[in-house]
Amino acid sequence: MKNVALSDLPPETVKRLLSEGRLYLHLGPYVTALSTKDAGVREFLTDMYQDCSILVGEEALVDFSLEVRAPNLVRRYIRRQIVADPGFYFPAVPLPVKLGPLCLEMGMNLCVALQSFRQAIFHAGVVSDQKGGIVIAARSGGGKSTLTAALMEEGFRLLSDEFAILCAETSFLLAYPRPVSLKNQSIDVVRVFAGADQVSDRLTGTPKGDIAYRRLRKSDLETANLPAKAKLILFPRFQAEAAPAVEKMDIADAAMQLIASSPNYQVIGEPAFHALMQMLDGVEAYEITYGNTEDSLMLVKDLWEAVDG
Amino acid sequence: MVEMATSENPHERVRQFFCFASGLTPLPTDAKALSDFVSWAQRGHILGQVAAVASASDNKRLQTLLENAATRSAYDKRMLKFETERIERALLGTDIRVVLLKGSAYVAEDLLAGIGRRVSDIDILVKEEDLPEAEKLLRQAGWKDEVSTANPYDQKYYRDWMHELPPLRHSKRRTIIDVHHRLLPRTARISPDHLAMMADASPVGDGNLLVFAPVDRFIHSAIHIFADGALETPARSLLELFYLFNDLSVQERDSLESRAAFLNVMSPVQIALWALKRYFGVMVIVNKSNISKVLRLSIETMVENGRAAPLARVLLYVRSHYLRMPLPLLMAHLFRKAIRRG
Amino acid sequence: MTVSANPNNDHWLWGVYTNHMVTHSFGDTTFVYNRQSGTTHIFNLVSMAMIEFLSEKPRSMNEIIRDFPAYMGVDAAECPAGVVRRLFGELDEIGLLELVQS
Repeated sequence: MKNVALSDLPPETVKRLLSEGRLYLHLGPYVTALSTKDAGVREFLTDMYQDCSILVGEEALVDFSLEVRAPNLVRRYIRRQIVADPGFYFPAVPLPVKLGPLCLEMGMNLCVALQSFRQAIFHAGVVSDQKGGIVIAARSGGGKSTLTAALMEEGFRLLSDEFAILCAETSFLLAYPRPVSLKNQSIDVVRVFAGADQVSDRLTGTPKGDIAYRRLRKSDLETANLPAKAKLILFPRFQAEAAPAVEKMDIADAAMQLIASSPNYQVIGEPAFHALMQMLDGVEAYEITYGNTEDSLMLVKDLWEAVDG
Repeated sequence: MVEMATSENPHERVRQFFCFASGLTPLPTDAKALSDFVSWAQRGHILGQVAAVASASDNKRLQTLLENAATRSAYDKRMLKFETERIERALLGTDIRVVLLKGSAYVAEDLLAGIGRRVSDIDILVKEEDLPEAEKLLRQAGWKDEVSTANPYDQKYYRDWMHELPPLRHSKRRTIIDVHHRLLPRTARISPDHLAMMADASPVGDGNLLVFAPVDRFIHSAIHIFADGALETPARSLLELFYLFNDLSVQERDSLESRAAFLNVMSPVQIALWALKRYFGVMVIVNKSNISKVLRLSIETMVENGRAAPLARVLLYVRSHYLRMPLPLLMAHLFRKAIRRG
Repeated sequence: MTVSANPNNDHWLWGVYTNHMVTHSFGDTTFVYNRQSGTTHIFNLVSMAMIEFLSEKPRSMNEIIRDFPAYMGVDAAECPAGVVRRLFGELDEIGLLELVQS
């Protein structure tokens, strides 16, 4: 099978492959067969994933199959709705059809979270530079995605906005770069520092308020096969008006929080235990509290400077 | 024919797929045929079974997918083994006879049928008079009423009509145990003689837990699949039956029908044998007149139509397996919250 | 903490098979992976001491209550039976203890 960039495929070919469920997106360690007849989803995909690699042919062996479709025949025509179907039962609530891109992104996340057992997955954003990787753990309202997007502007490459993917053999982090999901106020924050053309149209009225996506960068795709060694684990806490503060965390606490955020740590078992322990031997963990993006960047830069190269 | 998986006849095609899946024939080397088969196996959630019997391949992508599926099956197996050991521990020092059913029995005996099953709960069988004591000890060991059925209505419904206690969920490990005292609900059309099966059960290794004799093990699987609604997972269920049948000696195979008649479960066993003949070419004589044509047709539709079968059925089957998934799926929970309205 | 079967039976000896566990320490905290359950646990020094104590040789509940304080280097008053039982119960429930002989 050969690899082409999505933008090299004529629109009618993309449309046909998507309607046949044979658009094979090859991103990081995974191949996903995508299927949809929805024009909104197709347009979002064609735009946001334009530089991504597509496998062309009929004989793909895929990790995941994802269909974004109407929940039933009625909702295909009347008060149209859309839902992600990853091929196994999942209690996803159908959304209005205009939120199709959200279904696509959530569906792709579900595939990785619940069907990938080759790498231990933790709920966190990951960026890196030549020194190594920074893991930004997910916390409700912690500002993981905003901080991840901000660090992308500071010379870091994006491995993932959603998953720290830990290779069980090497205990290095793998890259699975996808558009960065931004919510509400952070949409405008990122539009300012990344440029308005780097952010997708706003999806309004989602269950989480407004959502937009920060575009994938070509450079992150080109380096997606380079793993990174974790050096720093951050547990961010956003608090309006808060003075910036850093507190060193007990590594055992950090480990427990990471394990609790993992959908597959338990499934993988012993290899995941060894890989996590090996990763933790080489890192420091901090809780950082901040009230705005500038403060969070300052804190992270200070901590990163103290880390050995 | 080399490119078998490209067969246009749905029955032939599924039959070939079952041959690949059960290791009767090596996996196809033709890329398109292999892709068709793997995607069928993925849709039927049986890649774990395939991984257990497939010989090593130099196709790296294939190996990667099989290893992924094997990791998942190893987890299910580990979980079942551990939970079984915990049940043994909970009932230590009593003389309650506990028969392991289905997955936990297959895993305890290291049967091929125990590999690649997606397991969400443990099923055990005890005599009805031992129920109160068994329930008490399990509760002491941390199993509590499962929230979804803890209400008085469900509790009463289960205790009055069902063949099992309301499900118990372990308060720390989140695993579910179904404690049966019969094999089918009191209201079911057929009433298997479970006491005769229990009388023939034997201990696993030198432990205290019991498993059915091989013939009864096959018969119980047939009952579960064809009389208890488990055919919602057609590919997986048929593979299980095939493996259990394969593990029988010639004498045991010959005794299947007379044992089924004795236990009052002729019909599911005959359907099982008919399906094994149709999909695995197993050499058995099947008296089709006892099997309703509608039932045969609906099984054929389910097994052979794959993608075209109604989505509702697919959802129904995966639902029963995933709803009780004992994983601490915090991530999943977060996603679910994110897509839930309001 | 509930313990299902009565561990007081003096014919029952309890031990730990250390090959069922993998450990990794960060300072005073030890991460313990239980190969049989597939679960990772976090132990403090006292829990680890109990694991080591029982992996030396299997003991009955009475022996454990009697000898564990000395093994820890403390008076029995500082490590009363209730504490020892609770510790035992915790390790029992997560499946790290084995009934070796009855």
